[in-house]
Amino acid sequence: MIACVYRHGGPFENLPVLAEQFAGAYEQPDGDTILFSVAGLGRLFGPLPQIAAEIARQGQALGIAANIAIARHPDTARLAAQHRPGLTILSPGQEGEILGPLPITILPAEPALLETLTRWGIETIADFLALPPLGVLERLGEEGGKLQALVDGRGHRPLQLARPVEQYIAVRELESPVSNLEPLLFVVSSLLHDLTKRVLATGNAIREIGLQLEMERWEVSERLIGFPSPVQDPRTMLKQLQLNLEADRPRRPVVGVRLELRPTPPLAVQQGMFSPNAPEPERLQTLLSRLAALTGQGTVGSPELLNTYRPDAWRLRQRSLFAAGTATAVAAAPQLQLALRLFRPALPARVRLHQSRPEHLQSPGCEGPVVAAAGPWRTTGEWWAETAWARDEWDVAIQGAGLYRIYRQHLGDVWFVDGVYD
Amino acid sequence: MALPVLSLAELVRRKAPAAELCAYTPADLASLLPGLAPGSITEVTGSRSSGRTALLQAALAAATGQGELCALVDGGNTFSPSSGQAAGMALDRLLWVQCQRHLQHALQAADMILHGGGFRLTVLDLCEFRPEELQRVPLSWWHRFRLAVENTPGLLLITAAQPVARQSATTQIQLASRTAKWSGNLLRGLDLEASLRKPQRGETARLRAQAG
Repeated sequence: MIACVYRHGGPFENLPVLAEQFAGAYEQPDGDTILFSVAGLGRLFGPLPQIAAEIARQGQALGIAANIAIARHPDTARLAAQHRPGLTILSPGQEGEILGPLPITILPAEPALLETLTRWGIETIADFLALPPLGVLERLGEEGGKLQALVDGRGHRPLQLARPVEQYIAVRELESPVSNLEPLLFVVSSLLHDLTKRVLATGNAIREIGLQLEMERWEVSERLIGFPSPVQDPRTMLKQLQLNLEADRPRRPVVGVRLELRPTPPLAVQQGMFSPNAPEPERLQTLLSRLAALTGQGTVGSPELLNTYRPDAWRLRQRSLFAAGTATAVAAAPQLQLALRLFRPALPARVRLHQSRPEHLQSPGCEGPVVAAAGPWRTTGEWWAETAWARDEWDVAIQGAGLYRIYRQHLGDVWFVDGVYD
Repeated sequence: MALPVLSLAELVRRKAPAAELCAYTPADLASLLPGLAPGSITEVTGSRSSGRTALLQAALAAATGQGELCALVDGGNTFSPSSGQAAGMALDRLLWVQCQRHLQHALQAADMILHGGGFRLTVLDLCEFRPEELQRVPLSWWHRFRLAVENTPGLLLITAAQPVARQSATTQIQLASRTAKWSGNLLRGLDLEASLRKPQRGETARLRAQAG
């Protein structure tokens, strides 16, 4: 027999607590409803009405105001708990009798099917149960048959048990403070391998690692390493941790380590036969970390243009590199497009004007008379933010030095060389 | 110690079969360079405004357009993503490494990428370094790059003001600007001249880089 508790008042987080007092596992289809088996509780509490009363009593103690129903089928119990106040015991064979007066519209069915029943003149569940089961099956199909079995308490469905979220945390206190990375990594490696085995046993992969280092003088250093593509290889994860620790070494000797792995279902990718080759996600992840450790954080990734007119507005992302490549263009000879190489930061310049047009440019790396110029192209924007810009751009050809893009910044009336056309 | 003597038949057997060229070069350059050979190093040299970056971006656009993952080791932090997109590059297939004008970092980053494998086209942009700095780079670096790409489908494209990779480069293209094309108050493009320095043929090709 299955008990259903439908909460209409009180703290919803106490529902699992209530269920755990009577059963080791439960199904929670929504925040207000919980289902659990009461099989075997008769020896402890007595017959079904006493079990229901005990559930109600415990619920009251937890501050829950709820309807309680006990039935053979979990969905029948749920239906009764949701639509009948107080305690309802649906003994086998009495389901139809007890649920009979309820309107047909409360049944969990497609609106079209309920509309058909209404057109037939069926108003209550008792009317519906009076229809011959074979005729219902013929006219309404499998769904109609299932619906009639549900209100009649026939059939069986196993509970879809809610699994408690398992946490993968390992903590180790060190016997003596550790200053060097090598012995620290040795400790981290052992914890990591143990935790990874536990995660892999559930068929999952790891998407994030949290490392907390407890240092002398109660200082704590926390690191969070995310993987764009879930990983299962502990060596890859250890390499990431090593690179992270090398880039940002603990400031004091470490006295304790806490490692947490956050699991996720592994990424299942079916590579196409004609899709281009790409590095394995785990190797690519290691490569990106090594490159970031070399050139600095925020210098490695795939550029993404921002939705703004602001010059040189982009951000770096890494996730897109892990996606499988697809040809976006027909393989044809590429067109040669004049490229702009930007100077970051822009080079300060002194520009002599003649009739409001640049005549001579002087800047570190390029100097000379302007032989041709196009402009000015005025752009302004984001005046409401710190990223505001207002400038007049010119394309200029410097004798013997190349083609440049220069601009006059309105703020301060100063000139800069933005980049070179190449 | 005596060196082993190999027969001609053995040498022929050991020689890798000629791989199909990748059509990553513009049509105007086809007479001079129909494509880039996988497993090789190609150098593109020239002064400022000679079209080096335009040629690199055309190659990256062709490769990323075919869904290939490419890498750009940007020695001088000069790459403009909007310019790259205008050239047709699929930016989400590009790994951009900014080396903050640090030559050693640029070389190490290129080395990591080449040895990591999986990137079809790797571009090492050294245009912002002075020739004297580049001449001081030990030759072993270029040799190491060559060994990393050899017998792989990957390509390495190096660009600088002057040739740097010497014997390790299979192909070397020298670019020079001729005239800028202006139309009224607009820059329309740049006429370029390309010459193949390695293998040397004494031929040149005329190209035009269109302004966006």
